[in-house]
Amino acid sequence: MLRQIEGSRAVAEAVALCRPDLSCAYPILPQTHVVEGLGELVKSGALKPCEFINVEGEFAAMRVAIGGRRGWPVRPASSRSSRPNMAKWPQ
Amino acid sequence: MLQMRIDGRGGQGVVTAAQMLAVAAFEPGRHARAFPSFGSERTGAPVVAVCRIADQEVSLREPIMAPDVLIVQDPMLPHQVDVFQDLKPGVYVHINSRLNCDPLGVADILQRFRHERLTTVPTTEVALRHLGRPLPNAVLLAGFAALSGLITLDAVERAIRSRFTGKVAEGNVAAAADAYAFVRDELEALSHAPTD
Repeated sequence: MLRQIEGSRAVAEAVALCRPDLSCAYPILPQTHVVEGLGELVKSGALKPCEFINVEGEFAAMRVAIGGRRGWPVRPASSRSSRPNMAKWPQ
Repeated sequence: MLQMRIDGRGGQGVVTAAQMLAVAAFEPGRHARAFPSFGSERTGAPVVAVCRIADQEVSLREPIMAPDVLIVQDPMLPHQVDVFQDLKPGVYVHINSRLNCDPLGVADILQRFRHERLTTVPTTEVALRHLGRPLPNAVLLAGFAALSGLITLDAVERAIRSRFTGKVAEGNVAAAADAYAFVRDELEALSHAPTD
């Protein structure tokens, strides 16, 4: 069945199809709606046992994703813009 | 391909309106693409959203300078942004206002367009009556459906329900039906009015 959905929502659904165990992302443009879509899917139980972790910023989201992967072997999902954050990376 | 542009302000649901329109147009088997464009991200700042509807897949991602349909969600916006620039004479213009074009101060500009395609709808008042909040987007869509005949009121209702639930959805559906009837009556009156 064909369905018309928002692009960001389609990204969230594509991420969901990868069955993440952990979702950590900070909602700010351009990924706000991706994060919201993912949050809704986790809350609805469709992604069980995926856990949604609230983080205080985009770098924190990245750290949780890397930490989750290395220290506690899970499949993390995050969403963020790349280049603007590279410029802001704390030294 | 039908090209449509919605001009409004941040917080009025311009982006949501374009998105719901795309959903409403997609349902009967057409293709649609909608996206917004804005500068500063704050309530009240001018926002533009566009929607293209076609029988084939829409791959164009350009802004629409000369739309076939123009919806103006804020009656004061034309005094700040030149929303009527580059418009074709056959354009459908739909303005959210309880006044008609004369007191709005846009009658001169609108003279070069076909008068039977210009409508003003008191969308904010209809929205306040049914929703208790001045959110004109769903109401304007229903008005557009009545004006153009391109999408049905049923499709607008389903698009509203795909986006909202519960009381908000019911309020929007009721407001949409109200606006649809209002525009139908207005068009009826216009078709009988003298042209000069």
